[in-house]
Amino acid sequence: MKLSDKEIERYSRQIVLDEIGFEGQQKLKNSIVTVVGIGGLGSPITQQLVAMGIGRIRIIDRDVVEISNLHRQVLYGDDDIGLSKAEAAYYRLKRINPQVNIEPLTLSINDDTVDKVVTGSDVVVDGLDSVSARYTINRACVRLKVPYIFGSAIVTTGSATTIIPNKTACLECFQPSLKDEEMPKCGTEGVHPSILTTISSVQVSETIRIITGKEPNLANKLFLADIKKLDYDKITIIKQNRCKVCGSNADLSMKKTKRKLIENICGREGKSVHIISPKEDLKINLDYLNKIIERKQFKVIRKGELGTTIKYNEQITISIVSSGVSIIVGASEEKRALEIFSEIMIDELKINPEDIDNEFKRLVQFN
Amino acid sequence: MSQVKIFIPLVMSSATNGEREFLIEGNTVKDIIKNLSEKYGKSFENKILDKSGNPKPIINIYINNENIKFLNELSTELNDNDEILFLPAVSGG
Repeated sequence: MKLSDKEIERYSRQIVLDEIGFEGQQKLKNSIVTVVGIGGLGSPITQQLVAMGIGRIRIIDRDVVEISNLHRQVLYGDDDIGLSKAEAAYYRLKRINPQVNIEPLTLSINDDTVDKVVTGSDVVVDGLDSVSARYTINRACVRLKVPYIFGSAIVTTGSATTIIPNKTACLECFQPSLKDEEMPKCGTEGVHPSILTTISSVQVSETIRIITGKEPNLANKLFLADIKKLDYDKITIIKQNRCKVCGSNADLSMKKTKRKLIENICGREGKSVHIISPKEDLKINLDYLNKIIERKQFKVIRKGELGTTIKYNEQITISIVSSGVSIIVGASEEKRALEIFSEIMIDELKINPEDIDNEFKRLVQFN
Repeated sequence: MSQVKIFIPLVMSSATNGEREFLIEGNTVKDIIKNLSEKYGKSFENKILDKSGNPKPIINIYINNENIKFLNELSTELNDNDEILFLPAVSGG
């Protein structure tokens, strides 16, 4: 597809750059970029990519907007609290550039969903906040031969690299064997918005270089920066022959990261948070869900087109997004969270338990 | 004793009083950690080591560009002129 006169005017300040040019702008228009996670990194990444005129952008996040996101997740405002991030981001990004085709998905990233997320992308850009989800994306990108722009940031430090499958070091070459439970978390350690915009800008410039056919600057290099004293390095990292993902004995046919039906993540405002991820995209009929909510007289906190957040009782709130992923805040334990989820999904929405998890019935009965 | 060259990224250099490239002696990675702990004391221990004195899970150690997690971990033996890089994994986003 060629650029229209209006598009030439819109992008004139970057078409004039050697770094992009007219041909490069056309390549951006004809590209498909996937951004996994639209939080601290994903917000400025998508903002830039959409403004720059990427043709089609797939945005994935299972979470809903919370007040503690707003100091850094620049896509969202007060009005979005309780709304699915994918939905809130969709509307914000459409306002930035209505010409971009935006595909919002409310999925968890795991082995059951990752092919749907990565397939067809020219580049996958990392806005995630968990090691296990990053490993899942890295493995899928190596297997499906899609470039993956890794980025991460916490406190005042951040890092980024560009992973070209089977050519450069992959994520498990340079940081293997990490476990989420051993990693510092933004919720407890904090994160400076400036390191997020620094790293996200580096990720965007690498994405643009790949789409426009230029050599990425961070192939086999890790950009490592700390804004506390504006320290930064570009450190050489190389592909590891013994890497389980891209080394000589790698076996990518095996699923390596098992989906967790229920995760207990770090608390929000002192309350426990359980996230339940069904194995299938349940494509919840939200109109029907909203009727149930009305009948059961749950208080609605925020109702959207890709999800709804309600008050289940005084202590517990639930966000249900269109994929069926549910975030339950305030349940005392896993068993209680699963009971509430089951009440809505099985008893009310009549979802087949097998579509949630092969073990769901057993887990709810015996948990 | 083998003499090896240590590389510390700028973002971690407070652990080594701002020193980023220097020589140190040791036959294994464990020896090197011990010698660095003695040389730099608390600042090194706080940044690099956990309470049991082993490198924190987020610290990756490379010998001549090869991660010791793919070698013999802390028992990996060293030769003269080996280059050792300490690299932190950054989480979050």
